[in-house]
Amino acid sequence: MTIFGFDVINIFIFLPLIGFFVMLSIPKEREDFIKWTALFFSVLTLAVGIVICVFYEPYINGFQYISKMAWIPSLGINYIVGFDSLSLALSMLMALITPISILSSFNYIKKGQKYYYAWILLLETSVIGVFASLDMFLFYIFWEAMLIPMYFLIGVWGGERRIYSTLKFFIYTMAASLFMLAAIVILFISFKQQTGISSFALEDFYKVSILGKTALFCFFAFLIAFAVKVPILPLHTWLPDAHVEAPTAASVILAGVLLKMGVYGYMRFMIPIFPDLSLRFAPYVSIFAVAGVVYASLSAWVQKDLKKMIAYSSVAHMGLIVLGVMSFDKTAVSGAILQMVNHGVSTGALFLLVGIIYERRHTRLLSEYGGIFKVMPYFAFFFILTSLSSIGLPGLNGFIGEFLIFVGSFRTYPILTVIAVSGVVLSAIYMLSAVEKMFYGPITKKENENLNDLNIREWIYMIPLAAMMFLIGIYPQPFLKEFNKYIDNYASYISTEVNNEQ
Amino acid sequence: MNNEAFMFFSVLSPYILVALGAGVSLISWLYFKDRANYKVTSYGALIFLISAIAFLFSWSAAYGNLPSLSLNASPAISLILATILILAIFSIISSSSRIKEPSVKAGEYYFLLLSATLGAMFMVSAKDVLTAFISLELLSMSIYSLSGITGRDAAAEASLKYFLLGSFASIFMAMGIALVYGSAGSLSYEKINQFITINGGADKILLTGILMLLIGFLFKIALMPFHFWTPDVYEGAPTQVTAFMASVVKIAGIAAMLNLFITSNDLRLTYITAFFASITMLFANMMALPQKNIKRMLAYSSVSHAGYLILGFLIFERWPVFFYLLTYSMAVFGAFTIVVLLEKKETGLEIKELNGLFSNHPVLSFAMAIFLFSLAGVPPLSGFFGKFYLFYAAIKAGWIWPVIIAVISSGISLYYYLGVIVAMFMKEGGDETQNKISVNGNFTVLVMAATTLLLGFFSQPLIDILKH
Repeated sequence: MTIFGFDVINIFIFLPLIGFFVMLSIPKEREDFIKWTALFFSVLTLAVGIVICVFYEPYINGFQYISKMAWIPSLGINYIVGFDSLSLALSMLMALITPISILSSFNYIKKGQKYYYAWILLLETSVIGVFASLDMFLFYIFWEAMLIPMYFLIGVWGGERRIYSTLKFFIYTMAASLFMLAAIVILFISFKQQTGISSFALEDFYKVSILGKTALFCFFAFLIAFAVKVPILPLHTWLPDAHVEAPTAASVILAGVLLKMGVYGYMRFMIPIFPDLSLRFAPYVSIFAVAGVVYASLSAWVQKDLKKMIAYSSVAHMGLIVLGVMSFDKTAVSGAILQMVNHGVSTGALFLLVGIIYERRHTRLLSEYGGIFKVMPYFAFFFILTSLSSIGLPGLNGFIGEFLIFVGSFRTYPILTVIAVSGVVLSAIYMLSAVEKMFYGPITKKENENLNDLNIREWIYMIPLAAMMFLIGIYPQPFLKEFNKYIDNYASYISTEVNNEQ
Repeated sequence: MNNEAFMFFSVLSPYILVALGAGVSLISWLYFKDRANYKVTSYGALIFLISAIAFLFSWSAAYGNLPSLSLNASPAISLILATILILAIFSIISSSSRIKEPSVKAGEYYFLLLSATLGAMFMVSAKDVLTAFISLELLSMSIYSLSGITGRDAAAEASLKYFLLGSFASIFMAMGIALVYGSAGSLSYEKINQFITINGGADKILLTGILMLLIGFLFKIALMPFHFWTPDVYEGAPTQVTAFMASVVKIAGIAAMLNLFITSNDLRLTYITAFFASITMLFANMMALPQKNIKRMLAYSSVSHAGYLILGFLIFERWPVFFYLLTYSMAVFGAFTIVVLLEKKETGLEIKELNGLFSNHPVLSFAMAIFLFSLAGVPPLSGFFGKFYLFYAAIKAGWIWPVIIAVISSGISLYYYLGVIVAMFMKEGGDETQNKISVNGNFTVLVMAATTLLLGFFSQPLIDILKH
């Protein structure tokens, strides 16, 4: 499908990039024009994404909207992009969250606005590029290119310890990814030795077979590079720092989409390329993931800073998703994919709500609030709704995802799953006690007496998120149906290995 | 004109033009005497350099059909020569504002710059050791004098230090050449390499000669542990000259060394180079970490890049090294040019002086970020492509452990590159008395930034040229 002679998928990926250059060329005094241009480009991208979704055929096997161009043919590097339901769902999540986060920054960002919105648009291009690329080299370029805008978003517009946090974020991710690059090159070379074809195409990487220590090195390079992104337990320390210091929009994008890139990496690259090793090490990864659920939930419980609490809850939720993916059970995997979307929606919404209250009170300490239900009823409604969705209340989206993950992974790892359920219990404890501290009881602080409730701009970006929570929660079938074909495919990578082992 | 003579002139024409340019700028300076006329001299030098680039295209007739010169001509070499000439052109353009200072003697400056360029060009295309050595001396002599051209104490010290240590290295090379000639009986790279392959192992004299040559070269390209002059000289020399040193001199040294050593597959030599490359990458990056002066930091960074480049000697292809040289030289030249534009005294710029630069000079800050990200090898900038091709080729040739060290040291290097970006974009401050940025300086920086940004995306055509 083409628009003006360009493949629609390329428009979807590079429209924000065009927006980036347009933003750079606007004089910085025209602040309103800057904001609306950024919003215009992100909404336009979302519209293109919706067109893609409408014409997407969920019952076709494999990738759709494939666009191919020779790039560095002498090394087998090509520009290949395409979508299947997994990558399309995550790209749409990004396309949805970008305009929302732009809209949420209209009043919050005062300095260097034009660069702020420009970086967000550049981030959108690189994130959608990560999900769409079907060439390992291209994927790596997008994967790393995403660091630069995020680095500036946290470092320039962040809080007090922004420089420390952004350096930590950058170096953590880059150092882990460099080893993945080495692994990619090794895989490429072994494929070339086996078949004589130089190709970085993903489908060729699926065919490569390597053994022994090299295989182990490559597997662990992928495992660790993505584990930093998710993040899985011992590698998570960058995340609370980055979240606390990041401006609202960056937090929303970070929690909403960037963390999913790690899980996506597992599903798209690590597991299909190394099915046997993945199967062998999945129990250990799951142990770390579940330890992360418990540890992060306990950490969230004791946080005094609202944003830090949500950051830790995010680590816990991601651990659950990894457990689902690593259980290699169809039900759990479909739950994990759905939960990725859910987590993007509800944690994104939580960070937006924290941003809203922070703009009014300039503090995120729970002890500074109390009784604000009376002054901000609508804000309280959205906050409580989102908390319940994040806890996993039946009828809201979080429940469906978590339920499917638990049902599926119980078959593979019964004990681990039982431990992981405690994470849900803990999340109810810390979320509800935070809600109680913030909204109920008497108003203890004078500053809280005259807070303004949500304004129209804030209503506009909260409603779609709230609608998603209800929609997925009450009628998840259309969403789950989209993933069926993908999951059959995904299961086929593993099941052949299982049969071989038996 | 018969065919032989035509070929002869078409190959020599770029060199002749640069030599003429050097002479003309010296003479025009004597003739005009008036300092206000430095512009005439600089335009003259520019015209000669630009026409030299134009004449490089006439080489296409001579490829594969060379007259009996001890010079190579191939598409790859013309691209490298064009890069050297372009960098020389931009050295003249970006320094035009600084030349007005009375202490700088414009005529000598342009003369020395052009003769250094000439030396670098000969070094890249030399086919025998003696030509390479003489052109290296031409290059070095010009650079020694250029480092001290302002006549200030720091510059004079840098110049003297560089001269003393440099002549020591030259003595090593001369001795090495004598030994090599004594045992191999020829000076041409090809013959020497044939000789090494046939009976290199047994011939101790040849091996000693080769090692002495290697040491001389390693000194010139500042590989550890022969790098001690680099930070002092880079810091003391006028920054325009430092930019030239870090880019052009490195291109010339690496290319000459590559031509000499690439075809010899003597295992001991490859182990030595792998060892030097590894310690250079690791330690130069560590030593750059605590630097507070940007010129010193970039000096250590350029030492570390020599280490990455030397990795290319372990593989049997030239193009990854050439490609890396292109991306590296553009980025480092641009970074030093920014230092030229911003520094208030000539010994450089403290990193903390860059605090808040972004609010005063957004374009320069963006450009600097591009250069530094590229030097650090962050995709999608061209430095990443350079590193990728180099590492890829090294892994393909079976050298895994040097690549692992290279990857680790790239990780280390991120920290100090990011430190500069942090200062520019994320810290407050910066005084109001910023230098006025000349149009020429801005133009240079923009061209270098655009090249650094785009070179990687268009690597296929470049690879096609560099492979031949």
